[in-house]
Amino acid sequence: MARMEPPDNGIKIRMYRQGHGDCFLMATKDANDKAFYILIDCGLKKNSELSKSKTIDKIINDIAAATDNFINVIMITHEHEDHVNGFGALNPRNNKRYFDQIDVGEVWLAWTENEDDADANDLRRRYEDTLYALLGARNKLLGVADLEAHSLKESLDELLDFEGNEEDLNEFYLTYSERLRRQPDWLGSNGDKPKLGRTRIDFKKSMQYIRKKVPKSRIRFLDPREERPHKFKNVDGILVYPLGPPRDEHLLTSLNPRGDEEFKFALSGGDRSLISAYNGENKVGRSTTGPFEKRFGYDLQEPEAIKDKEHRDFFQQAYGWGNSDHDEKAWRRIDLDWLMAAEDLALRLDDEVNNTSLVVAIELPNTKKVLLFTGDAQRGSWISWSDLSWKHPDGSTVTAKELLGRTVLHKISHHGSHNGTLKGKASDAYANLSWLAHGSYKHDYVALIPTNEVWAKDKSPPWKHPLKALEDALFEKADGRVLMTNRKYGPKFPKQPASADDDRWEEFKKNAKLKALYIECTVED
Amino acid sequence: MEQSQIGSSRKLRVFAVDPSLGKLLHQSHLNEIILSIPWAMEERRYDEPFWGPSGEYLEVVDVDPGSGLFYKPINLNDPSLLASNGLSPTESNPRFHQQMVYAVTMDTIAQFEDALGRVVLWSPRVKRGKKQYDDEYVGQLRVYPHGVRDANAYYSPEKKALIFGYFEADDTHPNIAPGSTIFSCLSHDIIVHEATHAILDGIHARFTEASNPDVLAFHEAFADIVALFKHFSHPEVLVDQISAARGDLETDNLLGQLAQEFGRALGRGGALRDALGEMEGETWKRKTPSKNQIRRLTAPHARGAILVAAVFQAFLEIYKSRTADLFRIATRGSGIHPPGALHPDLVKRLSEEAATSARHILRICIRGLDYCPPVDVTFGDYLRAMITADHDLYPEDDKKYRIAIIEAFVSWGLTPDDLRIVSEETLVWKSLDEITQNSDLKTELAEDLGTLIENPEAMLNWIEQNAKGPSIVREKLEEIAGKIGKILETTETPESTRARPNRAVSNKYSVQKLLEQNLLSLGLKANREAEWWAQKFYCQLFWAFITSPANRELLSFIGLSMDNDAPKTVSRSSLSQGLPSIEVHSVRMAARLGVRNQIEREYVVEITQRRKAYFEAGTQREQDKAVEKDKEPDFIFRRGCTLLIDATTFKVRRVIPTKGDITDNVVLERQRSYLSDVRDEPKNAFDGGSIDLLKGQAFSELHRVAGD
Repeated sequence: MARMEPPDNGIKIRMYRQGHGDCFLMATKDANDKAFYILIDCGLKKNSELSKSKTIDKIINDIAAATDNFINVIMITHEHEDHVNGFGALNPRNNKRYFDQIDVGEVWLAWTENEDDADANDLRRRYEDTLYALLGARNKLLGVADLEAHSLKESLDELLDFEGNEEDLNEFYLTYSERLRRQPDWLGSNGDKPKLGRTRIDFKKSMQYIRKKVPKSRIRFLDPREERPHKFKNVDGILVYPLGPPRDEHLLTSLNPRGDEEFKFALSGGDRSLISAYNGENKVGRSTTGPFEKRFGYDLQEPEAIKDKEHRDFFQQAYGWGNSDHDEKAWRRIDLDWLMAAEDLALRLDDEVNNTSLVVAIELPNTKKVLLFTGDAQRGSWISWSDLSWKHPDGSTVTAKELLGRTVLHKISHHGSHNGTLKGKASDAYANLSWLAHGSYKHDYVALIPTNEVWAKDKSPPWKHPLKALEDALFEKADGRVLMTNRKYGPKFPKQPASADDDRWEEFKKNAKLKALYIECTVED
Repeated sequence: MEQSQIGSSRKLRVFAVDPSLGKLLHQSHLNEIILSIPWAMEERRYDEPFWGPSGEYLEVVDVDPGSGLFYKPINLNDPSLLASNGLSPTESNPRFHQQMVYAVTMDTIAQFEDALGRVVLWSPRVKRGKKQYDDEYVGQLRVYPHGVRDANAYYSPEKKALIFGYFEADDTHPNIAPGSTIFSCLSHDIIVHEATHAILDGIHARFTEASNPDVLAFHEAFADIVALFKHFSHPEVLVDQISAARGDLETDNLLGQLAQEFGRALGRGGALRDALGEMEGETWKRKTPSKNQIRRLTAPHARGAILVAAVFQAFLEIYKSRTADLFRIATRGSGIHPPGALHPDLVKRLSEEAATSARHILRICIRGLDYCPPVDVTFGDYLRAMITADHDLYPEDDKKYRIAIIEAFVSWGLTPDDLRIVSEETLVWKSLDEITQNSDLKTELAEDLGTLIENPEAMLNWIEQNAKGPSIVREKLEEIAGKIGKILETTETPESTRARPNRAVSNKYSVQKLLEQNLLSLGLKANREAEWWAQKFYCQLFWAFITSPANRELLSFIGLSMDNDAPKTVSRSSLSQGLPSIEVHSVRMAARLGVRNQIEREYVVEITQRRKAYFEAGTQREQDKAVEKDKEPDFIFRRGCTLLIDATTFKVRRVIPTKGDITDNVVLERQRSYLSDVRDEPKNAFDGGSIDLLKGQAFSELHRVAGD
């Protein structure tokens, strides 16, 4: 394995082929003509490797060799496992992390990770409330021997990256419950909350591990509200503009947002009643969990104990109980229906965390070309980019619209899902795919999609990563220059479309290298 | 006390709208109304306990799994409740909740039965048998008043159940205490809406198959329409609101709005849905008709809202024209009211006119259900259905109902896309005579069928000679007759004298006898389970007529194909050497009062064909040529027609075909492209899309977003 040599002018980008997840290594030259390395994310969904031989340790070892064990800047877009779990990956032989061999200069994170930021803490608190609600639903499902219950639990685990952390999850849940018992109004309150989830849950541990690699002073939090773009230490000219996650006071504090774009995190009334189901309300005179006074209810778990014979007969005849497979009444029971709401809540939370993705536009100094890294940003993030602008060091004002118009390398958000990239027209008032790559930049535009399409299609129900309609749109926009980590038989150049100019196509192929472990592109400046 | 001494119906108190009205001083007098449920619908003696309530149509089971509780059931026959019209409305006693869902759902059922002249049946449970899917009769719709903890309520077609949720209110609305519990089973509108879903599913089980963007939207819209017009059947609320609106219904008022408390509790600032207007910030604005809006909307609730708006607009126009004279009289011709409240007499008269107009429009809407194609309904089809239904009842449109409906549908862009001229004449579905007028085809399914049906012996002979597979038809008819016999014997004979179950059924219920007495003509007096089987009986009979070789030429005129060259994906019959198969999906009897007040009956016969369909056009082409038996289709493509057949003369009075027949590749492509879009527009970032829609189980999804 060899060092990754930066180009003389410009930047090299490696899209690793670890599986269904993001891992991007970049190399450019610093002011002293030395190699300068930037890593964005490192993770994959469990068991989504592209092949048995390309495991995450090989990828990390390659990163170590390519950078000579020193990465100048690590950016983490957001905390989902397919973006971070590589950082925490353990070598089973010595129980050390593969990343231990690599030193880090700086860590760049989204403002939502800043513990000194009141808004970020507010978000996190509400996020944890929701997580708690979902864990409660999950716990309810654990003991149920039922196909539907099992598939719902699987779905929650998948959405929340819960898999295999039973002990940690339990501890989080119990601590939370205990606290709520003592202080029922704590839920949804603005009160101080322990950062339980941050260290106890595996995907959070990976994030924490990288943060601990550098002293606090070398963690930067990027915020789209900042006036000026960021610079890499000792690198001339390259500027980094944070486009997301959105920072809108109104969106963050509004408890009743309208529309899908906005941060909610907060629990709705429906969600709160879900929680109170597993966390006794303890209101005077009420049953522990129901909405009515105790005297109106019988315990569902002990139907035989219903004293009034007529009532007992009625319920036995109408609803029935027992777990027999041959139970003729079972098909109409609704024992699990109420927990189905948890799946919606989990999906919502997952989308919302995606929208906390750090989104950066990296601008090269000479040609002003832009590389756009979107993490898993979804619709709401796109909308929020529309009106952003910054002060360029030369005194001019740079708008997000200009940056997007100069994009020549576009990391497609969320593995090409339907809501990771916004459709629209160039004339629309909100940022969308048509805002990207205009004028001469149009001919250089390349789209990168990190995904394991084959693995994703096998999910039940299948995940469309990428969505065919989006893939088609990108193919048209890029005149065929779309690179994916995975097609069925490994990395391949797409077929040259009839519309693509021969010289340009040759240029595109010359600037891209397809390897077993990665796809590498060079953007000249 | 004798049954006859306590009147003809059970009276039960319910919230007029929902609990929120009683909490506002100026509306608190509208809190409560009384509903009447005919004893005859309950088939239950008043002196036996009536737990649940679990009666002939409904079974209210108050289990709340989220709280781990059964709530004590109400006994509606408790003497103290019989004497006091049930419990008085309250949020804090679950037994009142049981009473209210029961009363409102029964009231809705009664309304449908009155309009259709037959008993309401629930869609059957489909059970996977060894060789095929079997339908199983479902007598009672299950109702769960506190089934989920969610701002949601839905009809579950799989469980044949209405499931109502409850949730904590958000703290945004001034009239709702934060954290208070909102029960969807206490909203009159929500109950009617969900009950209507179940009733509609019982009539058109295939209207849950979203084969075009209108189908699920129609389900939603129809449920809203019934809930809206129900407002006009409660005189207390009606009079109050007409008075408050000074007779002008085109203003912000309760009558045109659905689910007041629910909407506010979700922080919407107003009702969940409004047929007339919408809130723009703090102000209410009347919706204006737009022909193009419908093209942009795809979500079922949003699309459905357009249909609701069109129907409500038709109602308003009728109300205005019926009350114009009253306004002229009251204002001495000026049209301008003096300031202040309207005279109570005027309010009363206006309310009567509003109630009559609403009742009539709702009847047209309900009766229109029998005039829809069996699958793949569109809003345009429904317009034709409503117009035909009313036309057949009142050939002279002297109250101008039909003109008002057509005008409203045109203004909202909801007209059939294949009609060049939209008028009553072109909209009314054609008769078989009209369809075949340039051919020399005879237009009777069997010669002298009208006389055949009077003479069972001749009928059976005809089957023997003309049907394909006569022995099979005969066998099935006998099997069903046996089942009907058992049901009727059990209900007709007192328990003590009942014969042992294995005894052969007396020949009182032989095929011949059943043909003689025609159980379908019993109307509201029918035993529901026997009626369900009788419908199956007539399905067999009509299948024999329609598939008879003698009628083969006729089929192409009514949108069916028995062409040997049809694509191989079209489902084939095992009886006739692999010709395309035909399913008589449903036969029901529609009764109506004719122009001279005599009862007229007609069979509503739904006939369908099916074809395996694939998302990939290439796969479709391959399979069309040589179908692989085991290759699962991506979706089922169905075509067919509904026939309205006069029960005495057996003339085919109306032919209501789907667009294109089962071999039509253009229509198939349209459906494929719609379903692909649905599939590619997933509800979340992961699933490939809501394939649920294809399976027709999407109500809980639809409803969870509470009206978006």
